Amino acid sequence: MKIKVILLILNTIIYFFSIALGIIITTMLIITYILNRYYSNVISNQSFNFATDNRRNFTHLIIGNKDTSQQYNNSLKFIAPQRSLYASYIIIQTYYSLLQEDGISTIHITYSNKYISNLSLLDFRLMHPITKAQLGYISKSHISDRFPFLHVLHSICNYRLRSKSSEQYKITSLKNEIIQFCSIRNISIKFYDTAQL
Amino acid sequence: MNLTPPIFIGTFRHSDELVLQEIIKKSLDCGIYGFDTSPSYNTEVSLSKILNSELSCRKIKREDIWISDKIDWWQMYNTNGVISKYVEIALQKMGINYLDILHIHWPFPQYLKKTWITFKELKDSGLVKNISLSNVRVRHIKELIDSTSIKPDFIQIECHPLRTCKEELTYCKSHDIKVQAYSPVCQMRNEIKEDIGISEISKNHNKTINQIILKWHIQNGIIPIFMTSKIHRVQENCDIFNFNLTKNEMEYIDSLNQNYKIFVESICCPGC
Repeated sequence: MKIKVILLILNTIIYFFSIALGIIITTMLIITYILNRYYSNVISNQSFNFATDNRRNFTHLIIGNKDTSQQYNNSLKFIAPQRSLYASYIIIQTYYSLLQEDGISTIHITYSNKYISNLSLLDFRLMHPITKAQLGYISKSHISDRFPFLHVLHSICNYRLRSKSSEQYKITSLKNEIIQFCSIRNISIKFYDTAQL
Repeated sequence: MNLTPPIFIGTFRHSDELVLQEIIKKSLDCGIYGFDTSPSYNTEVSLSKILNSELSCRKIKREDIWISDKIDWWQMYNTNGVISKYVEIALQKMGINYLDILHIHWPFPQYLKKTWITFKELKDSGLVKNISLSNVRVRHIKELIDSTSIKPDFIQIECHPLRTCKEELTYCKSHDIKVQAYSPVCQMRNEIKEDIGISEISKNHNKTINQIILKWHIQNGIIPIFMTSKIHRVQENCDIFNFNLTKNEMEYIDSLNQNYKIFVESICCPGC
């Protein structure tokens, strides 16, 4: 009799525990789904799809870890917190053709000495597949591509996604490379150290 | 016939083989003997299958038609520029012995020189008759010629009234490089379709805007490559050799240039 009562109590506990667990898991999945959608939207808002977006011939490209204090007409922005100078350089190489030609356009780069060469998911999302492959980021097999929220959790736990083959640049040499790249293409360039903005 | 066809049919976005078949049949009927494909278009096999069938029915020799193909970024990346095996694979799956033109689709800087040298080797071996660069600027062509001494036979670029590419045209003319133009009517954007000047020109010659623009290309010495899924458009686009645009009309169309690119070069080819 005692055993039956104990078993009954146990069963009841397990039953309600299972329901509670089910509710908790379902709630977590729903929250994860919503957050994942949110971060996917944040990431896709960062990108430029030339097949669907007809805008071209911008006069200013603002890129880096912070927006500049001045507002510019006919500008395109790629701003992400903690974006490194190296990431900005890769993004410039990918998007500079959206600028007007013939020496009319300017690239404004905001940077911090704290972030020189690291790359994040927001940066990878803006890259051509060949650039991603060269940097060791294979998007098809990479979970962060489909579930950016997992990457956010990584970042919260202070583990930034690092490229396998990013070189360690010095700010001066990277700036010189950027200047040379833009000079060949007749694009003006301005650097802004965000520590001074 | 070894002469370069004055017009090519593009097969980008042709996913329906039956539609492509009708287009190719009509093209051959109208005397268009140039056809363009690429691995990324997924039309290499369908194009060659249709052409091989039509050639035997019509008793047209292989040397009378031109088939142009491309090398895509992933092929350059996988082989570090030594892309011969991909050309051999393409020839095998297409059932042909050679390509009339082989293009480097996008000039990825890291692989461009090696790929170009391999192109020359393929040309010397006879697997490719003409070698070409696609989506390039004058500085790419100059750099490549300076570093390899290999001049392209063709370039293929996005060129239309909203992007007249005068620098490239001038350079290529002076260096005996033929120019092909893709998206030759800029997908008939409103800036062209609704332009009053072009409409006037079209009325003067009793031709469509399409025909006016293609004629503008021809008179500029450019070979337009157009893609269509409409049979009547094939006929219409061939009917451009019975009139000429005046110098003023040509200059007017030139004046529409705004360096507008449909295919943003750096997004398709970072660092180019």
